[in-house]
Amino acid sequence: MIGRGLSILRPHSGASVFQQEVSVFKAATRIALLTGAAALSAWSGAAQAAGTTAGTSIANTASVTYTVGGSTQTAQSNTATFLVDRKVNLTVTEVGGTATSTAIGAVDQVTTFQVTNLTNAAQDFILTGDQAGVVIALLGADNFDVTNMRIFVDSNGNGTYDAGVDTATFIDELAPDTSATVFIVANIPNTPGASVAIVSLVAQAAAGGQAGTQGAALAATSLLTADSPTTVDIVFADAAGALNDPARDGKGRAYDSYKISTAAISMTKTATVISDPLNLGINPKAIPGATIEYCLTVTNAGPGTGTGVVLADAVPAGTTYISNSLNVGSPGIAGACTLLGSTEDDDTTGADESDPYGGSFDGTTVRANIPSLGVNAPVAAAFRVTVN
Amino acid sequence: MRFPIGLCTALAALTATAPAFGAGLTVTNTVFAQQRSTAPDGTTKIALTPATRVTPGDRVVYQLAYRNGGAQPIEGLTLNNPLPQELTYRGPAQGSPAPEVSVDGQNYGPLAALKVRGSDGGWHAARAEDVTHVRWRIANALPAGSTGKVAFEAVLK
Repeated sequence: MIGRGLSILRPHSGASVFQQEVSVFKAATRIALLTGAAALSAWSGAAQAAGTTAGTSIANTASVTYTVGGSTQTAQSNTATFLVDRKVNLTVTEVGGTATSTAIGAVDQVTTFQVTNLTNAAQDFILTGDQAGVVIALLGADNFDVTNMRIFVDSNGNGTYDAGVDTATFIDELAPDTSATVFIVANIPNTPGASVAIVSLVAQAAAGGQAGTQGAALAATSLLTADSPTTVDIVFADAAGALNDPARDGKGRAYDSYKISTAAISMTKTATVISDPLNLGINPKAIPGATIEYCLTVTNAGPGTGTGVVLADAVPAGTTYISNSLNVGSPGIAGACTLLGSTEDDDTTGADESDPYGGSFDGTTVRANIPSLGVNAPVAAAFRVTVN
Repeated sequence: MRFPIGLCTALAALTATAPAFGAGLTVTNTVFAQQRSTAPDGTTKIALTPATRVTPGDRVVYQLAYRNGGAQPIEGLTLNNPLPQELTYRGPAQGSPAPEVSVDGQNYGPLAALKVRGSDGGWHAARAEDVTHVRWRIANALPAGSTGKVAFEAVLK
């Protein structure tokens, strides 16, 4: 038959475009089937950028030359066209990578996010925030909720929340491959034991086209819907996020947190008679010549670490400070003020000792310096005086 | 491999179902989208569907189907397809002969033989992204009534 001659143009049998068949193969064997490295690399080469604008009509026409009966002819193929559909993609990222440091009772505290439109069309984004009891490595474990949470879009591109200036609550007409900065603004309540509040921002793709108006949320065109080559379909192509952010739902989510960095520090003070000149160490009484030990215990209820804590205690009238009696360390047990404490160099002469704590006595006041006071890790300081 | 013209014309005459005398060559251009899916057994399926749902990054296949509707054999058939600028050439479709490609519409050849001038003014080996035209030159004569197809793959930018 005539078709014999055409076998030249069909060098490979099997699945091909010509039969519009479905070809099935293992991923590993695909490599052997491919003839060019370009095709191989292209396989994973989904465009990162937004790409050709949705609604663009791609037209392709081939021209043909041939000779028939010795005369050269030219012809055109028909024009094959398709319409570029809307590939909805976005990313939401937290800006800064660290928790927002805040304090109890603070108002209008800001966390910052960036929403990037990777869709091949301009569109709006609906913004919602929520608070979840989640644990995120870099942000901490959520244990309280902020109040009066609001969301605003950076209107002037300075990346900083300007109250009264950044007032938009949705992203309007964000062009492809561009980003908008979004702030979550909230107040910090006074909640006992609270330290970390994790908030998240969800951006949902919405229809663009009308500036100043928040469009309706986009819905992916159902694969079951009979398709028309002349309509711009909507295809969700967003990737999954780390947490509570499924792929291909037209939404992106990122987390940020508020971390209360203030410390709640309290101190208790006790006095113990160590010895007196008559009874010595046995049930000593506070008589002249007796030695009295004052014990100062400082505790940080958190949530932040206390830094530069100074315990200052004026030596009572009628008593004399005993030099080199200042001892700082962990709280002691069984009546002792400190456990494994270290004696602090309380004068200004000579070299200081090298433990983490410091001490001084200026003639009237004893001071113990604690550079860092951890949460629920109390530190005790003891010093002794003689009753005049 | 050339096949005997005389035999071909004889066969063509026997199977003269061609529409009309002098209809000549018709070329039908069709675009398909490649749809990939993962089957339960872990294999990847590729289906060609009408290009109704195409978004950036998707791969499309253009198929040029030609038919000699005339009564005489056609020789020297050359199909030249300038690529729409929104598309990046990827290669011949599965089962199709490889086209000659061009990065300027003037000089054709295998991709490895082509060079493009880079932004630094020097000449660099052309890549698939540089291709602007694809061309097939059908070496064999095309008897009356016979058909053939060529196809290439491209990615929507």
